[in-house]
Amino acid sequence: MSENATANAAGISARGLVKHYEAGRVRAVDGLDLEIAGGEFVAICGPSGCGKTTLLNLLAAIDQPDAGTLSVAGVSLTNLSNAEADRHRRSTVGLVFQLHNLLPNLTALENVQVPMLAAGRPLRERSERAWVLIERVGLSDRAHALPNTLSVGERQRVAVARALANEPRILLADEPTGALDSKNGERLLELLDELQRDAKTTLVVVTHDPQVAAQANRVLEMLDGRITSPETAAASGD
Amino acid sequence: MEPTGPPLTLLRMIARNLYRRPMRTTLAALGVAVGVVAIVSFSTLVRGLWDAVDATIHINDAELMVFQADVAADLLSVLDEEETRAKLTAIAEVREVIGTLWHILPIEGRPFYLILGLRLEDMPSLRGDLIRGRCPQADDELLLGSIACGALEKDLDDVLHVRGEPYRVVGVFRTDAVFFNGAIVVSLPRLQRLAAREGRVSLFQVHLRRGANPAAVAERIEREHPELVAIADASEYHKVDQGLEIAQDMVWAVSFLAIVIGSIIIANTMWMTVLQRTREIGVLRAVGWPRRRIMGMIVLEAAGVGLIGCPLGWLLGAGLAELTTFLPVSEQFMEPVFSATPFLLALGVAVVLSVLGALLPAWRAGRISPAEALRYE
Repeated sequence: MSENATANAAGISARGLVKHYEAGRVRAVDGLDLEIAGGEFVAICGPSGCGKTTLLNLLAAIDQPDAGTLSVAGVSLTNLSNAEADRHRRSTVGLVFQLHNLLPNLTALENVQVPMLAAGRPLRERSERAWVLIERVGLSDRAHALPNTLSVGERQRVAVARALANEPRILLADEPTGALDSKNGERLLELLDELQRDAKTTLVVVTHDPQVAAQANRVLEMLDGRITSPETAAASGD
Repeated sequence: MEPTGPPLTLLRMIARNLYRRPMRTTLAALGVAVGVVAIVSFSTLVRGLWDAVDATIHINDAELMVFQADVAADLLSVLDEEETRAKLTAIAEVREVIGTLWHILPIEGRPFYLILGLRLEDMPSLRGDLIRGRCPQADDELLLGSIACGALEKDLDDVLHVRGEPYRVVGVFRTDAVFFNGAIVVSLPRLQRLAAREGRVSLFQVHLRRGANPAAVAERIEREHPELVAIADASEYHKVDQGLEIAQDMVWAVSFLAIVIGSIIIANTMWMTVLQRTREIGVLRAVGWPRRRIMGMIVLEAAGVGLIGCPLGWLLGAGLAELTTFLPVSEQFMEPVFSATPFLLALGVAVVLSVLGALLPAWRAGRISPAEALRYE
C-alpha cells in the first residue's frame, strides 16, 4: 500500500521511524513501521519503557523524529517548523494525558476553551462549544468548578472534552485510565468509544490496561521501540 | 447568566493567574510599588521645593532677589547693607529694595530655625501675609511663621527666647514660601548683633518699576556688579545654592535604584513563575499554543503586576510625601506639591519595568519544549 493512499484525511503512516535520546543510548522508537486507517480505534500496548509515549508524542508533533517518515492526516511530520507543529497540535490532533494536566486556575469550562483560544475561534463559539462538550462528558453541573475540586474521573473527562475542542481528526490518549479506578476507567472508555464512533475520529490509545485494549478495533503490541504484533503486519501489508 | 459564563480570553486567563496566586502577585506588586513610591514621593517633594523657592524669590511681589556672587549656599551670602542698597537703588528700573538677613539658630531646645531679620520700617511688607496680630514695631517684638507657631507652641503675646533674649510674639503669618512659614522674623539690627554680622544682610528683595523687564534688570545688575547675582525665578537659584538641583538629581538616582530593584523583583518572580508552571506551559504548548502567545502571556502577566503595584505605590508615595511634612525638621521647609506628571510617569515606569523584568522569563517560557515540560515533575 502506498504512503499517500494510507495517509488519508485521518490516517497515520510511519516508516522506519526513529527517536533516540541521550545521544542514542536510549532508543525509544527504533525503526518503527505503522499504518492506521482513518476512523480506527487502535490500542498500543507494551511494557513500560517500550516507547509508547514517545510514539504518541511523535504523532502529536510534540517531539520530532530523528529519522524515518511519519505522516499524520496527510501531513508529513518529518521536518515540521515550530509553527507547523503548533498548528498540527492545535487543529489536527487532540491529546488526552495520563494525568489530566488541566490548568489549575481555570474552571472545567475554561479549560475546555484553552485550545480554542489558540485556534482563534470567535468568543461566543468558544464558550458555546465548550458548554456542549462539557455536557457531552456529563459534567454540566461541574462546569464552573476548579480542577482541584473535581474528582480524578471528572478531571479526566474534562481533559477529554478539552482534547475534542478543536474537532480534531485524530484523538491521541496516553494511558487515559491509568489514574482511574475501574469504574471510572470503564466510564471514560465508554465515553471515548462513543465519541470516536460519533465523530468518526481516529483514536489511538496507549495503554497497559487489557480492558481498554479489548475495546479497540485493533491492538498493536510494542516492544523495544517497534510494533511487534501480527496485526500491524496485516494492516501495513508487510 | 448564561450557563456558559463569559468566554475565556487571554486577559481573563492572565487575571485568573494573578488572582489565584495572591501572595506571589502581592509580593511582586510590592516590588513595583517600591519604584512608584520613590518616584511619587520624591517628585512631589522636590516639586514642592521648587515652588517654595519660586515663592520665596517673589515674596511680597518682589521681582528679583540679589545675593552675593560665587557662594556655596544662599545662607552663606553676605552683602554690605548700605553699599549694596546704594548700588541697587542707583539703577533706574529699581523702585524699592528690602535687605534681609537669613540666619540659623537653635530655638528653645529645637535644633534649628530660620531667623529672618528685617528693618522695622520694612516689616509692613509682610502685612498681607499676617493671619493674626500685627507687624513688629519694636526691636523686642517678633513674627512667627504659621508652622513655627505650631511647632514652638507659641502664639500672640507669648514670650519666645532667642539666644536667651526675650521677644514678644505680636503676629503670625503664612506665605506661599513654605520655608518662611517655619521661620521667625525679628528686627534686622537685633539679628545682625545676634549673628555677629553688623551692617550685613544676606540678600535684597528687589521691586521694580512698572514695565521693567526683570530678566534685563537682573542681567544689568550682574554685568555692572559682578560681585552680585540676581535671580528672577527658581530655575536660576542654582547660582546661589545647588541644593535644589542636587535634590532633583537625588530624586532620579533614588528612583532609578528603586526601579532597578523593582525590575529585579519582577524578573525573579516571573522566573519562579515560569519554573513553577513549566508543566502548565508544556500543556499549553501541547495543545497548540505558539511560543509567541506563551511569551505574550508571561509579559502581560508581569504588566498586570505592574498595574496592580502602581496604585499601591501611588497611595504609599503620596502618604510618605505627606508624612514627611510632619517630621520635626522637614515640616519647616517641606510641602509636597501634587500634579499628574509624577503619577503618570510612575505608571509608565511601573508597566515598563514590569515588562522589562519579564522579558527573560518570557523568553525562557517560550523555549520550553512541550515534550520536556510534560515529563517535568
